[in-house]
Amino acid sequence: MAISSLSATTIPSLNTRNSTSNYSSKLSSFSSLQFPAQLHRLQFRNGGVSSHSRPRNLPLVAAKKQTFSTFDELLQNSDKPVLVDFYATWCGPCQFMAPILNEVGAVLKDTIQVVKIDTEKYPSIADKYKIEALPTFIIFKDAKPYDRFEGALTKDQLIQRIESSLNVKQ
Amino acid sequence: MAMSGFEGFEKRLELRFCGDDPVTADNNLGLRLLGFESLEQVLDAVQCTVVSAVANQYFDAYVLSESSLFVYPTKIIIKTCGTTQLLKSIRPLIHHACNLGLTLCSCRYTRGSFIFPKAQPFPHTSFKEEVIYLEETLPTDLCYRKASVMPSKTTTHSWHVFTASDQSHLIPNDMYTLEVCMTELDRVLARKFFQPPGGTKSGDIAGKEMTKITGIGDINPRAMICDFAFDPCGYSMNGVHNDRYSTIHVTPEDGFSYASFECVGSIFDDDIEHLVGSLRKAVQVFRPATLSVSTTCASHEVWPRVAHALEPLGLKCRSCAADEFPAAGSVVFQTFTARRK
Repeated sequence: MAISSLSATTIPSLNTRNSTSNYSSKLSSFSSLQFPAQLHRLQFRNGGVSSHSRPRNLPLVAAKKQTFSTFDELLQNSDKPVLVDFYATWCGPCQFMAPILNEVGAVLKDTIQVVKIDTEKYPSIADKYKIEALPTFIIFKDAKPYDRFEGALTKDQLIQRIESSLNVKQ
Repeated sequence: MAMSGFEGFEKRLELRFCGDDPVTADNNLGLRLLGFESLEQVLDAVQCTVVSAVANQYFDAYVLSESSLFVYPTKIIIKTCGTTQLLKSIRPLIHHACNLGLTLCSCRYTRGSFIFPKAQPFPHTSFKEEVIYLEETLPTDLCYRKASVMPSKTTTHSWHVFTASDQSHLIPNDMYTLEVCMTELDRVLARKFFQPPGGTKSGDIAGKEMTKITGIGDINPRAMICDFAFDPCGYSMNGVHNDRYSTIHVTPEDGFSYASFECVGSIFDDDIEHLVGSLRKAVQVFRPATLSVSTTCASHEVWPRVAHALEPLGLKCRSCAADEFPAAGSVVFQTFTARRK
């Protein structure tokens, strides 16, 4: 599965998945749902998503499960540790990181896989990992959170952080 | 006192904007929509770069090569040290904000007295030049303006204030700002802000260590800290907690050692006593021989707590000057020196 699918507006991999037709039609409505802007405030206020911020016209369990298994599948299928950047489009420090992540992804392409998750589009994933500050980076090893740090960094700092995290803890 | 060295004393600029368009209420992001590219242009004009940054749902906080930048939906605060030309950021900021449908409604510029005033570039060569520059740069609808130099017992320590406001923003809100400037830092404590010899670590890793060993991390345990250690010495941090920031900058070199601590709060805070504890802890990190505190507030409940916080630490209040400014409210400037043993 392409990494970019997670940060795209739709979730194309799901449409091609062998799911029931009912299920995928509900999911496609999920991807086109517009979250009102106030939602992102509600989500973070208590460090988690409050129940009334979830879309009402979707089976909650199904949508959540499918989103997770997509992300979880990416984690499971990866042969390398995965660096996940939790960001928001409106976050200045996250914009600062964008070119840096591209460079670091290229430099460390044999060490780590870089994935970006838009916390506005995937609030349930952001909630699961209790994302409050942006950007938040989580390094997943063997599909589990291994290291976590918050805030933007310069390229050299990020490379050093990733390398020392993966080396020392072994 | 050294003949020349790094200028720790900062220049601080706070610009408030308002939107004519109620549509901006829809996403409430205001100035945060500026985008990092535009901010980079502004910082370029000031000659600073970003070394660390973090955001939450209320604001963006940046640690710069020469201090800090905070971007809220309707206000922007830039604090820079060294020989940066901070006032040059005003024109590009007004321009970029205008593209977002935001207009400037008030401006506040404050600074202490430079340790090395002759090293400053135009327009920071004198307060008079700075005021002239501000007068020429600010739009005319900011028609209420005041500039004042607030004195202490020594001519080397004054507090310079310039504020300007339009018709509708004369009355300040409930937020207060505390700007603490410390000089002649305890030498042993200042040494903690030098990178250890034999291999300099990456700025953010070294920064985290400094935050921990100096006790800066304990000043406000609820805050998320973005820190950075400079090479070979120096330290900066921003603390972020909900919509509040705090910021510390350290120039540890003997002969011109300097540290600043700034924090904000509301006069309606339940835990305003918390401020006393934070201020004490911050000052204890550095044990300066001299310090000044400038309290900007709509009313008078904050500045008396300052002396109350510091006197038990052996710091005696030597001067207290107060004045009123458009949009800012009261500014009270107090200086303290360590009691002789």
